[in-house]
Amino acid sequence: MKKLFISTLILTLFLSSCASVNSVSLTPIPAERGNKVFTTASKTIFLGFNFDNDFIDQSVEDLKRQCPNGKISGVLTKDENINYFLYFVWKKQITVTGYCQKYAAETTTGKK
Amino acid sequence: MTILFLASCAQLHHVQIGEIDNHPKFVQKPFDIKLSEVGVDIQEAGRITKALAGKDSNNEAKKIADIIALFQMGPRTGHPVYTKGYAKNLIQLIYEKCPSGRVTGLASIRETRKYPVVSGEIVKLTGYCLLPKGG
Repeated sequence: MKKLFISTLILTLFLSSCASVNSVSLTPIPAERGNKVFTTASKTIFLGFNFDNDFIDQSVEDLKRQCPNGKISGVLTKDENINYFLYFVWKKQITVTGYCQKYAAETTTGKK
Repeated sequence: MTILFLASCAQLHHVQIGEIDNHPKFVQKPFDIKLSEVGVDIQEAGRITKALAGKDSNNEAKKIADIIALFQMGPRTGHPVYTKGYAKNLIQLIYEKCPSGRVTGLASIRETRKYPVVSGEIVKLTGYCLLPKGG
């Protein structure tokens, strides 16, 4: 029983995490909110050794792929830290959501 | 030892992504702007001075660091810099990169590159300039 308790305690300590929000930003939200796009980028950092933040760069490309011939508005960018066991390991996570509004077919073909 | 002193840690403070316009009538030309200013970690400088100097100098160094710290209160990201307007020309720089002003997918990143005592306080912008197709 004691062993089980200690094992559970250790496991909980290792697996539990604390999340904190670093920053949030939002652009104007469109009236049409039917097509939601979403991307997330993260990086695991061990003992604070982090030499670049290039993991963010793919986010815009990712969103663009999800909305070809359209405009993404209402972009919510959430930058958060997720800390694991005693802050030895943490994860920087950027979550971006937005709404894709496709341009009308006439516009894409160039007709008026 | 040299590696230890020259290696930098990158700390991310803020990320913001703007609206993304994938209009088929335009081509997207990527651009990036990076502004940086030297930040000084007074506390770390004080600690190093304490470690290197004698006992009498220890207290003096601590007092100086404490007095300077009094003038650097308030919320901030990274370490204090001594040129307050280093990022004020950002909009002008965007216009230089994209004279049409049609900018999309603007990602602004605020980060710190940490070295011993000093740091690089960086503002980075990446985005796309919309240019008319065939224009």
